[in-house]
Amino acid sequence: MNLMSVASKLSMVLAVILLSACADVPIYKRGALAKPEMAWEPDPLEGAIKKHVYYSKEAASGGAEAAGGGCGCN
Amino acid sequence: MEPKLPVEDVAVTKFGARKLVLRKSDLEPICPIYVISPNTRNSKIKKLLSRETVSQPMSKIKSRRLMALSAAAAALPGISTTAQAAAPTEHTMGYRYTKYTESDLKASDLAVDAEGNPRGSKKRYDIDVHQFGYSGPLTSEWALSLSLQNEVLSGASPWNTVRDENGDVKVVMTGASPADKLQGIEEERTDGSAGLTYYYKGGSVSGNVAFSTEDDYDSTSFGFSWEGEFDKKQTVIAAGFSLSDDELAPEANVDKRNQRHIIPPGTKAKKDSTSFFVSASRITGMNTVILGGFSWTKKEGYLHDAYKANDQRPDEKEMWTINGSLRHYMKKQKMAAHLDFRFYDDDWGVTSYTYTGSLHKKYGKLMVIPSLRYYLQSKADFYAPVIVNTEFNYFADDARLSDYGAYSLGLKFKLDVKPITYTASMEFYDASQDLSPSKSDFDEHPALISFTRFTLGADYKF
Repeated sequence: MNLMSVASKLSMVLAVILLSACADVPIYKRGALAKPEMAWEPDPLEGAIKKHVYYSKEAASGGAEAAGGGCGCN
Repeated sequence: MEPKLPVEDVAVTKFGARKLVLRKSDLEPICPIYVISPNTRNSKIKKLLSRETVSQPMSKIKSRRLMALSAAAAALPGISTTAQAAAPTEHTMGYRYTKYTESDLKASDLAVDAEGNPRGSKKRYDIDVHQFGYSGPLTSEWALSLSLQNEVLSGASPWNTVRDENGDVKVVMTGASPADKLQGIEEERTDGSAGLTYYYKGGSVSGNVAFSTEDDYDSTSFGFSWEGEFDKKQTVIAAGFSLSDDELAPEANVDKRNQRHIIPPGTKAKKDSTSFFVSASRITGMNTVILGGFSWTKKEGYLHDAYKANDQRPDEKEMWTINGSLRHYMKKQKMAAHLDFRFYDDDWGVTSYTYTGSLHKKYGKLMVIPSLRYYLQSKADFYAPVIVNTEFNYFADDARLSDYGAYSLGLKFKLDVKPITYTASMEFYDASQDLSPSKSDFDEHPALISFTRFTLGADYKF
């Protein structure tokens, strides 16, 4: 994938986010968003083991965060 | 205009103020701390009052629990799994035990020698994992997170592939076999990480160090990330990078047959990784938040799989991902919906799409979480199900580099008995070429995996 392709896809993602940024939600109405089950990763420990398994068994990895170190997983 | 909230009871407090008692389920989503002054008997009620504020002196109103509610409400979930825009107010210690079991290779997919003996074991990996985690505040501005994981695995893994007299692809496995003398694998791996986050008005910065160690592989990495809040904390921009330095010393197999890339005794091969990400999340409604991100990773050095007979890979790999996430809360159903998408592409020719969805439904103290994941990837440019010519620069018969699709079904239960939350989850995963919508040029690799995972654990908050 060349840089232009990456840039165009990234632009689309950012455009979607910006276009959707039309609502203004006051802080006192964000209670539902603060619930633990609304976190991006509600269970970091189990999330870590799942990520590790997929990393070991699939060709694709990463996303949403910077990659950490590897393992000799074969 | 007064907030319209369901009110269970209206009374007069000992202070003479009007007392509104809200049902707990309705109160929790409402984030501000509701305080009423004793002089509000006949005035318009501007703020609502919770049980905590009525039953305690004003000095105790800023209780830990209320502060936690308030802080959580002001926080927009961040990019990393643990980071949030407000410092944590509670300490959390967690433990998980995981049993991971791969299904055996079908006996008919195992290669046989001239005498008809199986070439290796059909028993695949069995892994026991123990995880410990801690996160909590050091001060009102600093927070610490720690994790430690130990895993012990045993079993056999694919060594190479051959075609039988009918032209079908068969797998030679490691494992006790008089014909091949290939060893099974017994391995222990330990990894740990420590992260420190500093919270300031409008954002946070985090740093973390991590290590992973096993007999033949050591990895050290560190990362740095930043989060900034914008537009009344409705938008969070995050960015970060990480560097890792890995050292490998693959052990020679007992008969050293065909094994490539043997590292001379006393020396180690190197693998370095550089990675960065950027993301933006945005509240789009009182029940919805979305996130989009991009990441780039480059690996350099020893990227072969040393425990395969025919595996020679480039010494560089660049990877990109684009990801999107949605969290939506359905108030009436008391249920949160999660949707996650990832597009992946690398310069080895692999393109992949991952779709994950889950529902988090609450029944009193019990949370039930069904989930579904679908994964799809194309093959690497140098992959072939059977390697017949090793004159090329790069070649591999690793099933993980083939084209296939995989689905995963999960079910999880969380029981919240404060201050402890118990969790139990299970997952079934199956990979197959039939699950890929695109037509492959190759036969399906017989070593594609199926596995089950069971996880039990508890989190203690104090």
